[in-house]
Amino acid sequence: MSGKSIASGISQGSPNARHSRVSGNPVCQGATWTPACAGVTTILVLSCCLAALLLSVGCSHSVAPPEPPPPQGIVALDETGWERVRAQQRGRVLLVNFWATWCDPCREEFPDLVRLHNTYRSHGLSVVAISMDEPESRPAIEQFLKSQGANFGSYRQQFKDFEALVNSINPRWGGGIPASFLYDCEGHLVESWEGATTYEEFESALKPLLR
Amino acid sequence: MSRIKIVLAFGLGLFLLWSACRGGELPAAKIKVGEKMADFTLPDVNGKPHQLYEFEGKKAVAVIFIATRCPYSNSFNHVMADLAHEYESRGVAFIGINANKTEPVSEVAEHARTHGLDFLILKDEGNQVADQLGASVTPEVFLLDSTWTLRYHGALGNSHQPTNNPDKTNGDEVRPALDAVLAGKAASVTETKAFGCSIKRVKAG
Repeated sequence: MSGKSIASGISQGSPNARHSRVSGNPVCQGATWTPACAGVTTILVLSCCLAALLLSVGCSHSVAPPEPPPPQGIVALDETGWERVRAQQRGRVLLVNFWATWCDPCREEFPDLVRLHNTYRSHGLSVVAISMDEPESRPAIEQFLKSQGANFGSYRQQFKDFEALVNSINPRWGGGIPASFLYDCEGHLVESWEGATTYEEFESALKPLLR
Repeated sequence: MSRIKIVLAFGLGLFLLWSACRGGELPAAKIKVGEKMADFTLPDVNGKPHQLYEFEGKKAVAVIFIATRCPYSNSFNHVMADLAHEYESRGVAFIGINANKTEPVSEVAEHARTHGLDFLILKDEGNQVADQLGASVTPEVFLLDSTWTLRYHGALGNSHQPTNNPDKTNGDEVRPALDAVLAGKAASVTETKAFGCSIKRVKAG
């Protein structure tokens, strides 16, 4: 089964296009308006918009910064920690996964997260897993992560207001898990999935964002 | 110059539209608080069809999406059972709907018996009603008043600090809404996030 999602238009962007520049408009100098002037202006404005779109999905460096070392063990994560994690990953594409040891589809899709991370981490992908388990489930979380060979940041939720967090991430997230969220290297949310998602679905969404 | 402004405004409009589309908008619940829920027909665990509107005359109807294998939903079994016992005598009907493709109807029947869910349990094999309402998780409640108007949608309780510890789970969020509907008043909180297991649909929603 696939997660619920709608595609975003971001994959249309070409990384190279952010270097495009818009030159001046000699046809429209002066006060006279001509059809040619209107046409050129339209093209220029649309070019500006296109450039803005492409710039907004790009990042300022051609090489992603190195992946921040994951914290040791399972760290409790509150709202402040969540913001810190996202800030630390700025410049890299970030895939965040909410899961729990008691959630079968979460466990089933987890190997795909590990594989995605192993395949694309050198291209700028970071993965962060946030467990919704109870505090006493820490040994079960650790055991599961070890069995999966996960070597990315893993946290256990300790949010003060989970509902507010859900709304801040994506107000249309119904709150079900597994849920995954893809951020571009500028920290903008690009894609959201609720429900189990396939390797191919993740890959097709994140690959165009990588460098 | 005004034409330039028009073109610029058009370009800006396109950009804003594109920006609004970014972020991977998930499908939202298809029925909004204040809207009337359309009738539906689903079979119970014995295969007997039931209509929502057969509960005409009730003061309220609580439609709850449930699961047999979701530990989070299961940690609310006692909450659902208690709420039903308490509120059915006050004119509220409870309907449980299982829309998980992974949970066969025999299992749903056994689960209800075992956990004291002695209200009407329906099986939504094709996710017809789950899709109609845009339900996404278990447990998730849609509370209707006597005119089938949605008055509350979301969690039974614990939406701010989700837990699957049955000692901590409660119905503290749906309860005020139930009380408000019975009193003929608007609920002070009409929507919460229903954390839980995503519904295992036949097809991706």
